[in-house]
Amino acid sequence: MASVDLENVTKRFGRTEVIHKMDLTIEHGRLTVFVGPSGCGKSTLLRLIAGLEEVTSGDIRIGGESVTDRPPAERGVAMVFQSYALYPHMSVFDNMAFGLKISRTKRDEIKNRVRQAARILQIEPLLDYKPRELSGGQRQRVAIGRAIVREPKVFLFDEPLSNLDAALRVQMRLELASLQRELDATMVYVTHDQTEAMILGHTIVVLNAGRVEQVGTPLEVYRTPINRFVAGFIGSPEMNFLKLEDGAPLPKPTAPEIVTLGIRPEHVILGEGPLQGRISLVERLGSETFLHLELPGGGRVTARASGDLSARPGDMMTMKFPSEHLHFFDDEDRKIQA
Amino acid sequence: MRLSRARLLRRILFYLLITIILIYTLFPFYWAVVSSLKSGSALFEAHPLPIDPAWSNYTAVFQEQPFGRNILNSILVSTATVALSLLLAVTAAYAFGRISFRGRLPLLLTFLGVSMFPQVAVLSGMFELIRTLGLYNNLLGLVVSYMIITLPFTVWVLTIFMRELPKELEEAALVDGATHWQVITHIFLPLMGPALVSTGLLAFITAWNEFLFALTFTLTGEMRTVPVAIALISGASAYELPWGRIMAASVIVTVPLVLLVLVFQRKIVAGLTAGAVKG
Repeated sequence: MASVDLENVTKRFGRTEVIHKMDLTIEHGRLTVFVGPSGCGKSTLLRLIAGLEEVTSGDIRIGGESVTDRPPAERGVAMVFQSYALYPHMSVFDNMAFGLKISRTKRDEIKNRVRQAARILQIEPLLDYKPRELSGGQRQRVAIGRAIVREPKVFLFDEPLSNLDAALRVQMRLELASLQRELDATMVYVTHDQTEAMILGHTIVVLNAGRVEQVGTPLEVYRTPINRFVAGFIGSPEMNFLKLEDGAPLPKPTAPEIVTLGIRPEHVILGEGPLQGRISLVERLGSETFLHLELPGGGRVTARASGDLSARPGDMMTMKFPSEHLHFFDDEDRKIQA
Repeated sequence: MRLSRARLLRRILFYLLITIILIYTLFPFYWAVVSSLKSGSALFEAHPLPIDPAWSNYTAVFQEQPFGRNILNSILVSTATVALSLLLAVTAAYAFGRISFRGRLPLLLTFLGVSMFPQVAVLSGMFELIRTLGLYNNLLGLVVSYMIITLPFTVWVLTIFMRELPKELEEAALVDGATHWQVITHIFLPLMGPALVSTGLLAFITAWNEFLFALTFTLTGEMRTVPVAIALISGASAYELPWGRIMAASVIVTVPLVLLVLVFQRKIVAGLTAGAVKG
């Protein structure tokens, strides 16, 4: 168990700088999620921690010790890859035992540790199978088992669930969360899926273009996004952003530098209020309905309503934005406290 | 009715074509076998079957020159060439396929360039080299010289094959604590089985059949490999070519190759088509 500290970490591929002077602390015993759009540097960051990429400058510490110049094997990390990366010619047992065999661990010890990991993951009956004989979910478990067996200080997950189908993904998500509690492990998890980040993460690190935008618990990031990027990235459907110059009768800003106003779809109150919009699209999900509305000034608003709302495209709908749920942003997309 | 007749015709043509190809490719070998079983003047009669099969040619081959020794030489040289080529090619392929370093492409192209020179062009230079190394009339000299023929294609084929293997496998092994050498031996070699077999076999056949270097770099009968030994089989006088014995020797040295190919047949097909379709 160990914390991970990044200090002033920069990574360049040729002339492109993908991580800019990053400082970050990943607390021990917690599941930290790196989330961001593709190309934001989240996977690179994970690979830097793993030692699969070398930092251009800066320092990485695991459990207080600098590991910047150490190869992956000597960092005390284990990694689960998106493609699982199981060794195709080895049985499940050998896959899980590979790292221990390489490090000349005693045979009994290897057996014990593999069996124990297999028990935790409920893959004991599969130990003699080859990876190609397993389903996607089973392969994923073997990949996680291979990580557990090494008893690492830090677990690294690189989008481990993105190759699974939706139902299995939900199930594995729950299992990962309970596994983390059971092992009391430090885990770093990379995903582009903000729902996965919200559900799994104790701490969320929102990344964009090689920079940390915000670090916080899922609810902190959701409730008090630090800027417009985070506000837009976390939450589904995306937060509505309305430019004040659009001319619609929007709530009056309290500070002069405010140019944009944000409100989440679930906070728009429909059927009453000063604003009126034309429904352009109705998305029915059964339990809820999403209305896409066009405001007279040209702004667009998505609003969540109950599943049985009767509304058709073309209808007019009144709405209001409760002031306690409004977010304000200045012309550089920074959040302004109103 | 008309349709099925057209189909029948097409089928007949298809098998006719196959028969022609088979006759074209197998007839020389068949003729060698037949000739090797004829003796004396029967050789010069165009009989499709040996009327009175005689094994005297086969025994004569071993009696009149150290042919057993020649076969052993060929086996030693070919095996050593294959082993050394594969060892060097696998390690080179790992570097070319997996590690990015300055000058990778020029170096890879140099390898290809080497294979473009005709053997005759490098013969005299190679002769000097072999002499300097003190390997003249030595089997090791043949192994060294054969590698300039075998290494270009083994390196290229294995490099391409190595590139196709997923990068994550290597990374997973590195995180698991494997060294680069262990990645090669524990992860890549088992996965490259088919490619190793097909390139290894090609290298073996090349070394087994090589003539020019073998002729130039050996002097005594005991050091000759089979292609040279067969070419130098001579009759009682300068005007007689002992075809029967030449054919018998040829058949003897072809059989091991045929057997090798048959044994590894499935692996070769897997190796030649590897990476063509994503499995």
